[in-house]
Amino acid sequence: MSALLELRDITIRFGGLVAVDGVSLEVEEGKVVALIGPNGAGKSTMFNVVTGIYPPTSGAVLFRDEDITGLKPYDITNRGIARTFQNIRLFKNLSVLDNVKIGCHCRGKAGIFGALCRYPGVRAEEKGMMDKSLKAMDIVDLAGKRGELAKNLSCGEQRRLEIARALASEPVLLLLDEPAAGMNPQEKQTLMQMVQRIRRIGITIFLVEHDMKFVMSMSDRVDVLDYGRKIASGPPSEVQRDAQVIAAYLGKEVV
Amino acid sequence: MEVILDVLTNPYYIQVMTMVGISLIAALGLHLITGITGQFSFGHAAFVSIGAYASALVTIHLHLPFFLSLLAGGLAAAFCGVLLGFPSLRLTGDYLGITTLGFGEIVRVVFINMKITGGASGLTGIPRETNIFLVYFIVILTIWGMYRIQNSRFGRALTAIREDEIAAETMGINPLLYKIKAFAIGTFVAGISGSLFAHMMQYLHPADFGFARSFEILNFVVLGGLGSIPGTILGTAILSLAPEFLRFVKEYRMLIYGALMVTMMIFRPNGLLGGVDVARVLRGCWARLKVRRDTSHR
Repeated sequence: MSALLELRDITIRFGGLVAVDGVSLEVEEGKVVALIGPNGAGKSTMFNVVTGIYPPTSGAVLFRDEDITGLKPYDITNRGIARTFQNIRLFKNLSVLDNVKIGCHCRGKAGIFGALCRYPGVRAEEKGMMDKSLKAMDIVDLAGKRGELAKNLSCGEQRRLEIARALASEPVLLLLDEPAAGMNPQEKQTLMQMVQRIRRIGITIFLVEHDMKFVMSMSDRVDVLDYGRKIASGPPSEVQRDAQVIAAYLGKEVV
Repeated sequence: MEVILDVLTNPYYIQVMTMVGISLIAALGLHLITGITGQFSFGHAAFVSIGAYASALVTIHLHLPFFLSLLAGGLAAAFCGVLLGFPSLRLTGDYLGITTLGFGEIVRVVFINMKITGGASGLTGIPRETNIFLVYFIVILTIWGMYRIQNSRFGRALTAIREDEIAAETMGINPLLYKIKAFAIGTFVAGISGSLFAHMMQYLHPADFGFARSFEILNFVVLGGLGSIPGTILGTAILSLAPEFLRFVKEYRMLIYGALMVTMMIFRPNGLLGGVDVARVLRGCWARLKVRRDTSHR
């Protein structure tokens, strides 16, 4: 069976800088795959290519056997890939509920006419979006703060809101870009439980993370990047013991 | 009692209030473009003028009923809005501002040099069709429409584009398409405003729709609070009526007007009602009133 997401020989060049050099990897359906590596290894760049923020210089991205290389972000989200951002891109002046409702956007179709007339189909759609948003907020335990403005949330809550917003688009594949960054150990525990909840719904998770404890306890497989190249791939226990990985990244006592 | 009736039926005051209504319609259009979608438009008055001239010419040459001229004005402006928007809305921030500014000037110069619009001597002979009731009916309709749009999936997409375009794109929103749609609605409304203006003043001159007017409309929206409909209403009312109230200070009028603007910038840089959720505030006041009434009954 072919993988849900396949990256074939991806190379990304920004002028003279080679950010990613011929990386191939696969994400299988229902699994949690982590992408790790030192800062500047090209992890977020890979994410940006998968979600269409910019196309790769060469190589292909296949999702459910369909070539989505170079498609626009909104087309890719429509196909069932959602993501969170490393540097939190929330709609700061909107409420928590509105942020998540915008996540539902791609699963609705009401336009200007629907906005002005609000015929029954539109009202049903709005109710559906409200329900979906509340469900997504429940998964991340933010339902109680739905009226709060996004900019007034704590860092950990903002990251959870990003996840809720991504979940609201009903994705098949969820890309998490450093979801535990800036969280204290307690918040990380909560986050791990949330990721398990998401996984139980059946969503495949592809994540980038620096916290080794988080990665090793959550992932089915780990891919390691260093200077744009894949240097290891396999189950967490194997990767942890790989000499190259230790040399490049896990240099000191971590776990 | 008689004084009030005198004031209400004074043709000068009625004219002023009608003008405020017409300005408010144009401002609401710009509110959708700049306040909700976050796109700078420094040429809004050009779309008002396109609507004005289009509807005036339809009335004069085609002798169609006023309702159709009104619509023609709106559609002409919206058509030009989409035409301009298609290439320009790919630009960001300042560059879009410059482009819309340029467009405003182009329209003004084109109208000055066209024979059919009367050229430099202006367009005369437009019949009087606008009255204060029609204008405020359309004002109420426009406000209703704007609220409906703001609280819909479409409106949320526009605010998402304003807040963070890249994140919006990742949520499945095609920014260019939505910006063009917002621009189309905003310029349609501007065109309606222009049509009403033409059939009230009964005379049009391109100089009335230059950058100064665009900037004035932008001031209405910004002063009131970007993204707030009550703000736009308040901003338009204050800035349109202030010169009237300040007439008594004669030569110092513009000085005081400027001083007011600077005071605003210091104390309320987000606009008078910027960042204020009027519905929330009103609900809070109502709840407090109810508590006070309930406790005083004992």
